Amino acid sequence: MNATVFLLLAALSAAPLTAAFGAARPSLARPVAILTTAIAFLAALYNAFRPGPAIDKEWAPAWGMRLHLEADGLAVLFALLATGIGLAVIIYSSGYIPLHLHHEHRPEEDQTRFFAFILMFMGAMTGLVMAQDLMLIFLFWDLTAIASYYLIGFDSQKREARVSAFMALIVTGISAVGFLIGALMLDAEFGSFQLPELIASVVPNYESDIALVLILIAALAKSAQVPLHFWLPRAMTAPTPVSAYLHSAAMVAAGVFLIGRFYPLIVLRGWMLDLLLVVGVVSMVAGGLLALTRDNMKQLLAYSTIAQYGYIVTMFGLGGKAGVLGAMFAIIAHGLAKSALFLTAGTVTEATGARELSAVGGLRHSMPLLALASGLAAASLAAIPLTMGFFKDEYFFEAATHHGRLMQVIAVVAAAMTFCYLARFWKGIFGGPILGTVSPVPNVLLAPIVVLGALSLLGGFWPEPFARVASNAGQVSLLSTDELHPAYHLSRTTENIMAALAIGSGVLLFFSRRVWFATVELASDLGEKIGPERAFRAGVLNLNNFSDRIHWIEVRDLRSRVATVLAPAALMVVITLIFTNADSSFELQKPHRDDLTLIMMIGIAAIAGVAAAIPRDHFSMALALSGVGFALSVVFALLRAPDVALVAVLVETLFGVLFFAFLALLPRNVEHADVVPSDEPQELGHHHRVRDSVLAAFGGLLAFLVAWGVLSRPAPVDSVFERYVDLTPAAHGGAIVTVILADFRGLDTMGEITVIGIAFLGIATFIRRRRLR
Amino acid sequence: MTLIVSLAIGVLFAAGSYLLLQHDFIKVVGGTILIAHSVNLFIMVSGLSRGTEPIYPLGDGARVSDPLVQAMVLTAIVISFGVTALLISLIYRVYVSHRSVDIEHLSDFEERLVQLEEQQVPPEPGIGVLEDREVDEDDESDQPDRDGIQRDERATE
Amino acid sequence: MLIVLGLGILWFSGVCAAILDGRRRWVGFASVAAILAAIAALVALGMNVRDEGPQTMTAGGWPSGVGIGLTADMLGVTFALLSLGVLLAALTFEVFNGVRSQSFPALVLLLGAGLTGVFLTADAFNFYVFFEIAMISSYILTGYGDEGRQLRSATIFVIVNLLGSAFFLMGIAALYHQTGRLDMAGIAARVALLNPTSVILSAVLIFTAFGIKLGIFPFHFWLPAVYTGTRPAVAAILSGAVANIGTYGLLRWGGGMLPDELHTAAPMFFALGVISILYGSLQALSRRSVAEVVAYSSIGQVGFILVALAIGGPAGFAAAVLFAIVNAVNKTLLFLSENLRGWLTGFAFAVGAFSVAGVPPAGGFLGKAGLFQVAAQDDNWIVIALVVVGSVLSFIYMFQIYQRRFWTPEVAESANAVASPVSVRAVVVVLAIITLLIGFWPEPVLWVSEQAGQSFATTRP
Repeated sequence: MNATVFLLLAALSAAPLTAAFGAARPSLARPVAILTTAIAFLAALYNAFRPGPAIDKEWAPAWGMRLHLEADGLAVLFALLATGIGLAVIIYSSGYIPLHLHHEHRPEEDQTRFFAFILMFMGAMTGLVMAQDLMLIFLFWDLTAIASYYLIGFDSQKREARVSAFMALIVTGISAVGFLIGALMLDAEFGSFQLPELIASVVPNYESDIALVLILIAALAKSAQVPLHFWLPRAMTAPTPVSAYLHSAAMVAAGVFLIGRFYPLIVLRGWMLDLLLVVGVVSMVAGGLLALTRDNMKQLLAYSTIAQYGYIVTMFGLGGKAGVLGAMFAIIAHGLAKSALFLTAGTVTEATGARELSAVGGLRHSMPLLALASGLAAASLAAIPLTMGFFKDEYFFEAATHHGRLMQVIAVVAAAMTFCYLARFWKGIFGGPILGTVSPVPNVLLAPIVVLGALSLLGGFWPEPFARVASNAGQVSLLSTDELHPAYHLSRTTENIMAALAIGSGVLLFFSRRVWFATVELASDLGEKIGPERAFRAGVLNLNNFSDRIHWIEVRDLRSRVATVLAPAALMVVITLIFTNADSSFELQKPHRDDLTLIMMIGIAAIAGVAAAIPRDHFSMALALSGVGFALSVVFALLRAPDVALVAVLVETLFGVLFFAFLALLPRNVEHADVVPSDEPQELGHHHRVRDSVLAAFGGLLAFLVAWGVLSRPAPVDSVFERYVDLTPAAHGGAIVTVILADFRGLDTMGEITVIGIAFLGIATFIRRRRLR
Repeated sequence: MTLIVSLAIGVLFAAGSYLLLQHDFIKVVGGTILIAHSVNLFIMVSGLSRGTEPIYPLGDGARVSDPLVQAMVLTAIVISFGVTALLISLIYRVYVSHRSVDIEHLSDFEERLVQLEEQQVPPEPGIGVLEDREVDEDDESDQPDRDGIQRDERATE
Repeated sequence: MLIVLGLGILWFSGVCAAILDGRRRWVGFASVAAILAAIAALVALGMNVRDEGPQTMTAGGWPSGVGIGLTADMLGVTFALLSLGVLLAALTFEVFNGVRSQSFPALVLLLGAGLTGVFLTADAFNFYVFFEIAMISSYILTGYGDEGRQLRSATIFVIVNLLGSAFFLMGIAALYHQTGRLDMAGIAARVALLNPTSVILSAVLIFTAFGIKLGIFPFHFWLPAVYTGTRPAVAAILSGAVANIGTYGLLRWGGGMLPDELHTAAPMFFALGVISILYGSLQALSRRSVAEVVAYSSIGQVGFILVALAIGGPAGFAAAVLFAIVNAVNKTLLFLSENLRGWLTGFAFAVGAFSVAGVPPAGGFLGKAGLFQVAAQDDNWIVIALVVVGSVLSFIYMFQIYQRRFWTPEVAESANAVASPVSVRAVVVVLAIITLLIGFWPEPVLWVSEQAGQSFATTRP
């Protein structure tokens, strides 16, 4: 049991253990959850110092899939994030969820479900970041989506939750399909699902480009980047711990994780980095703009997440040491700070019952500790000096500077916006006059926030440990040995100037709210009207409507399900004949004189067949049918098949008796039934007849062409029937057909007898207990 | 010869198809019978030789009618008899429970049943229905915090 | 000898069960045991095939070509095991639920015998005979339950399939006329010597027959009416076991005997597959009941199989088999959970929904992955785009119905189904676990499909 295996097992077993204990006794769910998460976190910490060896086992050799996992720097960073923040959130949830369930009038047992799914997510996330096999990544990737689906939909009795969960699942699920295609393409082109091998052997070409773009799309959708960002604000309907964990620090982090994992392949193409840059910048700006005007606390934080991950994606796009390693650092800083802010929102809502900024105020008086902790978190995110977040922006500015002036401007603007909306957030809750009533909240809803806030502060004074983790992660992406050594440079470095500018502009923005608020709000409303979310929902709606319409067509017009089998079959035969211009010779011979009787009987059979079809009462039809049968028996006899003729006569007789008996059981009016539905006027009935005749003729044509076409073909040189003729004496028989049936092909006869037996069974089933009238 | 037989097969099949398309189940059964006959005839004439009856003792060098297709037709006749008998009993059963052997009546049954079900299950009005907007607006009430600004100003005065 | 063991067990126990009263619990359980025994025999057979290659025997000890031959290769054994597995699940389900008809277990066993015969036979006409055994059993099963809707479904089912059988017979007779042989190997050899267009008519007829069975567009119109009208266990049997005749038939007859014709017809297969996928998926979107959604979904799913067949070659065939396996398991799971309630069913249904949509760890993603893989190797973008569209649609319809059924409180509470015993729900849960197992440990299924797909590599000259 090495460190890697332990980490994996600890993370994966958390959910089943909690579910099991929770099923036995609901009150056990919380402590078990906390315990298992703590163990997982410790395992991740251990791997940070002493990473264990890689796991590499065969999984599905038929496709070259392997269970290949490794706790490298990148994996450790995200595993720490997942388990560490997970621990904070789980502790928070142990207090929050019971209250939540109480508000929603739901049973206590539901908390087991909650913890099970959150832990399932944690396990899946840990597995995801450790996986080195593409199919394994795909498996864990979708596991996180499943957990997220159930967590967003946790309050499934609320319509909003159902809609949001559905939306999130569709967006992330379908982009995951893109990932699958990309993985399979890479395997098809370069022969392996294992990332290390791929990194060594990929030579950029058309296929690898498409594969990587698909993978990138999946990653960007998961990290809620524009234009696939719209599911994230909707997902805020989930209980707050879920938002704090999944949708700020873990699930959306999976997207940028994937970028980091595939980075060695992405850098092979400059335009891919540019793509990341563009998407990141757009998300940064759009997210920032939207966050500036939100009133709902969680919505604001959601758009902030979109913007912050836009930062990170941009930094990946900028590349280089500052970009990539800085991105890793930013991920840590953001995760700690954002989750603290989300938890703050949850606590505030719990304390005051309000979800909007405009409904609360002045909480610094009643909840000073919370104000301090969340203030630290907000400061970190806004990149104020003496917090961890300051360094993330420093690296961002550094990377932007390498790229050019435009980038610098964008960076400063984005940072300013961040400052502004975070200030709004903090001030809206804690600043200003007191608004609303405050009830006390349990400490467990405060402690995790304090810890996270403290960590954000700590990182400002002692960033080394975090920088180390980030460096190890970045080294995996860059395939280098660069390291980060964040420090305060008390000089006029470009980064410091930019930081000052950013904060200054941010302050300006904040105090000039009244000026720009309406415009920005208008812009964001416009965005929503023509944005991707609308496209998505319109799409789903239209599909549903279209489906309704074609279903109605099918049910209304195509009642006769039989006709709809006959027509296409006939059509297909005709088309086949036309298109393959069966090089036939349709044969035309002169009939022999001797065959006159035969021809006559065949003719009688055909005529009787037509006679059966002419609309009449059932009795006449039955008579005509018998006529056909007996005529055919004579035909068989004339074709020198006495056994067949005999059986045909027998069967026809039996059948005739059966049919007439059945007809006799029915009352007279049914017997004459040739029912035309009463709501159909007579003309339509007539059309029906025409339509039927045409279809029937078509069917007849089908049979005719097939028969003639086949029978015209030359017979093969030899045929197996001659062997039957020869071997019959060996089977101690004289009548070849009988011997075939009884001996050579006895299995067929067994089968046919079985069919008759089953028919008896069925008839008995259908007519027993039914009284004969 | 092949033409004539093929014509007969076609006619029988056409007659059978016509009956298959009728409303009346009993006619439909008649249709299946006719189609079965048509197919049996086809199998019979697919034989690879025509001669005398395939029964020993055979004359010297006599050609024998293909016994294999005869065996096939025999089996086919018996099997289709079994299935048709089953079909008749099924229709009888349908008659007993619906008092009708008319396909249209039965389809009506089906449709009415479907409609009934649809009434019981109110469709989640399309996940993508835009009326969600109203629900949204409660959740993310985008009132600007103008009040906040004004409050601030009052506070600082 | 081993070849006939499974077949024999099913046949004998079917006959015995026919005499007994199937409504008694012990008869039901004995039938379940019989299926288990047959499955064991087939597994043993499969291991023989794996170690020694395809096994053959000729009934009656006559030389091959004269007597009826039986051949067990990986393709046949796989399908036989798959269908028997579905039958096992459905029978167990119904036995726990309470069998309503005396003949139910007997019919299931005899259906199993017919199916096993179909999958193991090496003779064309014998294929027809076993096919008929299976079909007549399924006709009666369709009417099981004795309510109006079952009877209506049964009549439609019988009539449509009678037509299909007629086409099939014509196809066989036509093939005999042109090749003079009835054994599949002999036919294959003779056909190879003929001009492809001469047997094209037979090919079309045979394809039509199997298409009707599978429910491909445009032969699908009977499918929704029948699948929604029958009882859940029977719907599972029809979609998970009987439909396999269609897939297997196309593979065996198309890939094995008429490969050139299959190749010629590939564009048409492809077109029909595409239409089936789109049509089935689009129809499924707005349906309100589980049975309807799953029925239309079936039409969509077999479209994928058809596309895989159109691609052809060992890779395409392997993808088709893989998809068929995964699809059968999905459909069985979904149909059986049609009327059940409760969180256990919710879990199982969710697994089924994820499987159809192609989300791991539910095994269904393997089917789509197989298709993607085959398409990726040929840079076949149309197929990739098609499977993506199909996936998108299946995501939407599957989760719409899942949420309607299990998440919407008004529906979840309106119990129009009586709470079923735990054992019934357990069957469904076991199926869900199997689906998950396939996802977590895909090797057996992958290996088996690959082997099955290569069954024809050796028979082609």
